[in-house]
Amino acid sequence: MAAQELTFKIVVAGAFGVGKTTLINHISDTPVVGTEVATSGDEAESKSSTTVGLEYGTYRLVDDEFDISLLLFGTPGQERFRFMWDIVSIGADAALVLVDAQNDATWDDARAALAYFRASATRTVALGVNRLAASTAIDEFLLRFNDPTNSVAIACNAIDRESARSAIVEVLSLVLDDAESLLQDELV
Amino acid sequence: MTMTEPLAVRLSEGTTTRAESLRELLDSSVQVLPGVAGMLAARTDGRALAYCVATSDPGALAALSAAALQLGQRLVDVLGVGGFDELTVRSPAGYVTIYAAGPHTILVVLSHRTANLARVHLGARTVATRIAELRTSLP
Repeated sequence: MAAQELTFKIVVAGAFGVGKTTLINHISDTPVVGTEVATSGDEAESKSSTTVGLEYGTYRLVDDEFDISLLLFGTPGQERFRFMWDIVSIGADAALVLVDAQNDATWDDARAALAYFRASATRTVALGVNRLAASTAIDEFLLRFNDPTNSVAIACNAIDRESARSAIVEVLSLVLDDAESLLQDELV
Repeated sequence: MTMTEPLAVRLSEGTTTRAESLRELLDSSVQVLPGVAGMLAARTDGRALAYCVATSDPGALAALSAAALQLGQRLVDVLGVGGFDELTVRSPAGYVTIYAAGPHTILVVLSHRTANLARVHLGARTVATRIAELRTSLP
């Protein structure tokens, strides 16, 4: 019997410079299609390029039973591209909001993105904690981060392929759990 | 990974029939419309539904086209000039034109540089209407 084919759309969001593009580049097993351009002004001081439209990459997981394609959509981080969130989040199964554990300037944006996706039709919303110091437990970080939406937090080191991929697989299992509980609610 | 049977069945329901009908429609349209080199239908959220295009990555074409259509719609909104008809990009190789095919689907048409774009629009709009009908009539 052929494996069941399933496709899920996952949006990667978060503040400017938090590692969204890096994460997608490290996870994707197809060439990432992006819209990166050179930064200017203040932004050029923190990094050389930035996403102005969206990024698109894929990650495929196959076993005997399922052939799962994850479609990864990255958004621009800057407030001026807020409209891209509306565009990219259409039909999304999940949002992974990235935060830089070592840069608290990114935390407000992460909380805003969590609130945004919680209020949207996106069923599964998770917090991806990038650059968590080896000495810091994720619970310790969460105490300081203080997420009002109480979303599931996943440690996710964007420059480490293994860490990035296991984070996205964790998001997938959250999506499947949420879909399953939705079905059970309907059956009751 | 654990998954119950009902979920797997529910998620795949109807998609095969729909993809086949769409694929047949796109194939035959590419053959009859002068100047048209390929077509792709995708959901407005950027997931490819069916295609007959010579690109190695139809998924990326679908994702970018869906975003481009939304941007085009917002552009005309900002200008306050009413509705969106289509979005065309011209390159040395030809044209890429993106149409809305009902509220949930987009149609991407690739045409040769020598194509008569007005004729392409005429044919493509009929195809877009057919796609919208197919998408509502099938489960």
